[in-house]
Amino acid sequence: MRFGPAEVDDLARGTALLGSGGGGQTDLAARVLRHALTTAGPITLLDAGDVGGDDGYVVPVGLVGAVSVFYERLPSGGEWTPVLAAILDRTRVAPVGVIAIEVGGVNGIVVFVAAAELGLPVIDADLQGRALPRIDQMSVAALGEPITPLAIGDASGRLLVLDGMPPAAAERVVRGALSEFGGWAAFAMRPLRVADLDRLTILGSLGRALRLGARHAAWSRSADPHEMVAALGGRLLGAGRVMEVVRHRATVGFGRGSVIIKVHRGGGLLRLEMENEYLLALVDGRPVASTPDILCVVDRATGTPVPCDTVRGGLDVVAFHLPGPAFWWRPAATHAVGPRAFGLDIDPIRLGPPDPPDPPERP
Amino acid sequence: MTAERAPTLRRLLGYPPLAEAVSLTGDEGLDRPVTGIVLVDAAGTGPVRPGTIALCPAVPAGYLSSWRLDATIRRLRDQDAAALAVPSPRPGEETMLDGSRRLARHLGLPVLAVGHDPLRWAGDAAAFLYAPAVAAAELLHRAHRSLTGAPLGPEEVARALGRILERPVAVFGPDGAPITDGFGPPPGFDPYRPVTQTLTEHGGTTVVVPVPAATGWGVDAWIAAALGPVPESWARAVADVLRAGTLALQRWQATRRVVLERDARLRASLFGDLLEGRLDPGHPARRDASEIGWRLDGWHVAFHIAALGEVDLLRHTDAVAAALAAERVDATVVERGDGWSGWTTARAEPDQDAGRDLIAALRKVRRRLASRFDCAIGVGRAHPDAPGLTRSLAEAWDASRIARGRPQTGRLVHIDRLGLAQLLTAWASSETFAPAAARLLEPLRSQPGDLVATLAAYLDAGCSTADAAAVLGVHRNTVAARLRRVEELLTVDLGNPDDRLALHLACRVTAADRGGAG
Repeated sequence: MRFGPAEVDDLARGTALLGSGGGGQTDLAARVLRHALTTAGPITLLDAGDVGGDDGYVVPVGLVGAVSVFYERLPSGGEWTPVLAAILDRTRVAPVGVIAIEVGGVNGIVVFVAAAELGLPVIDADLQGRALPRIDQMSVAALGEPITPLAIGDASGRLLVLDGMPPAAAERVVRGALSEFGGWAAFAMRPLRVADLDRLTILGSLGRALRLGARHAAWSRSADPHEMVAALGGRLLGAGRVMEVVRHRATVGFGRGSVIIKVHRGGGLLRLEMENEYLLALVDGRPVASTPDILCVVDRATGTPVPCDTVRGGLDVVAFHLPGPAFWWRPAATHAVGPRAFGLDIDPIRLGPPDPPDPPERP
Repeated sequence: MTAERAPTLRRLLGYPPLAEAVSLTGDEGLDRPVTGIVLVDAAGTGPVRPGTIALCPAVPAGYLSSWRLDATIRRLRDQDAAALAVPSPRPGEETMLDGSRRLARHLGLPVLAVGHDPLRWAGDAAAFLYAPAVAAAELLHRAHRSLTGAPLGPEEVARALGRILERPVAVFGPDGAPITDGFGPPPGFDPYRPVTQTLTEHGGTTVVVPVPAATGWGVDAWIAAALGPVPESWARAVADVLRAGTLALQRWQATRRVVLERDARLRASLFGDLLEGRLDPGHPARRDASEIGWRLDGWHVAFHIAALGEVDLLRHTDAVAAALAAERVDATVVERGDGWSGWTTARAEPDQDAGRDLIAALRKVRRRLASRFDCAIGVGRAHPDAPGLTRSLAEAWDASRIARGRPQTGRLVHIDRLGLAQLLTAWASSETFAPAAARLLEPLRSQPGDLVATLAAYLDAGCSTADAAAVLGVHRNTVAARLRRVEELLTVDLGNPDDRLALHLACRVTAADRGGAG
């Protein structure tokens, strides 16, 4: 399909939801993308099956680092050309397109910004199917395959190329180097064969984001949360007011914390555990949903996703569950993104299809 | 033995060894019965029996604010546990989130912080829940050890028991008035039921046990413990411990009584010497008297407190001394047949104010003793030195005899006010004169108009018909007419002083008889 300015809004909504509370807010990235589309024209978005020729390669691109800094320092144009060049220089392949490293949040949009800059089509696939905080949590790494060579760089010519490193070490090096790049950096990594995309990536995740965003555009403040969530293909965890937000600064990881929501109906309590993303949901102390599934918190009135880093007491919210990418439920992959990967000592909880909606709520 | 009702969590936490525990989740869910205690680990998923407290002796850092706590609360609630117990967070450590507290309240599963030695707490709880008799025996053992040394007075017994029970203990008098510091009798306490009373008000339990009197019936005192909310079995154990305290108090009273008896015998013999005027300077008994603190030089005012009815005097000697001390009467007191004689001594002759103060104080003493027994008090005049004391004592004793028949004076008579003439009255009420007096006035009794009262009022008023009329509330001419009839009926002449004296005495004696004089 041709991806033009008309699709940006749906993409921004959908990628924000798939961020599971993380991945960065998408509104500003959407404006950057709109600007890029006005100069570069529409971008081609291809299904993996439509690429033609299994021998072609695609390059995963995106940005790594603190998305909050992305807000303060926008791409100036030309960030992805040097990192792509560095990868192609080491691998000697000619890419047929790019894929996103992460569909959730800013990276689901940035792949189009990069594609506009690089003049390549976007293949509808990503390496996470949601948002996850670390590069060693990409699907390729979870399956034990290398993610190097990888390159991070910026428009001013700073460039770091890593090769021959296991994913965890690469994650540590990149994390340590990011401050030298001003908080975030353009990212490109080992090209993947089109033939391997089905095995190594989450296919169709951008299309899912677009469909999700289109349905989310119909969010209405007066409708029953249950019905709206069902329309998104999700399952309501609870609608209520945020009672308490605790951020555990002392513990490991970044952005660890808990959100406690007093559910309007029944007086129960919904507790969300988070670390950059919402990871685990407990209703009245009973675990009901967890990563790798996607947990969303949206403003009850506007439907706007409320990310982990700005959720605060007093907000009137709707929390719901979206099925996570089937990729992560493969036995070989779950360990990388299940609750234990975040220090939450509990088995992942896989929910079946959503229940039929309850009778309308009377607040 | 009937099956013990399981204590509620609230009462269990009133058991002193467990009182360190506090609920982190407020007041909800504390009224569930607790049947046991079990140790669990922070991540544990083992089974917990309904009604038990699940105690987690060690928790990882941050546990209280983590989702794990919520999950544990939920799991325990689903297993119908009574509570979750965790070590108390130290200062600066994370404690429970408001959300978790709310969850615990919502689910009705209290979270207890049990201090910094959770295993000791668990041990105490297990001992109490599974073997309350052992915990009670341990208490009795401690009570036995601390009460069987030197004899302890009421204050010391209360303190010793308070230390063992870790709760306030007080001793009350027979009427329930506190005689040690601490607290008063609880509402509903009945001092006339000589049995152990367990009284509960606002969830707080007070146990009161009687100290049986040495005479075998009645109650000498009460020992009470204010326990707050406690398990019933604990209240029963406390009653046993308090009963051990009653033995100690009885022992103290018996010891004290021996001392009092010994003193009383010495005092009685010295008192005999005193009354017979033998305690002159140089008499060997005089030295004994000064050794026991009797003051024989100076001006003395004696009083006699006559107990009315059957009263065990020795049992109340301390109370009499205490009542006198409370009214700041600095007196020497001696038991004597029907009561206690005492005297105050001053360097110089006491003035009228001092006399009035003494009488006012003795009236209050009488009121203080009223809860124990009724009494009549006579007060003698001030006389100097040992012979004077003998005289004042005799006057006081006579006055007390008169006071018995004079409820209108509050059963307190002072020789100074009375005048010696009334002593004569007292003498006249002897068995020889009284029947004669009754016969003398007999002819007036069958007549209309209260002739005896009129005659008495006339004579009391100094032969003034006007004053007598005012006292009786009738017209003067009525009095005069009645008096003429008296003269006719008795064939006497009221102008004759001898007739007047005889009639006046007769009136007094019959009036005293009708007033119930003894």
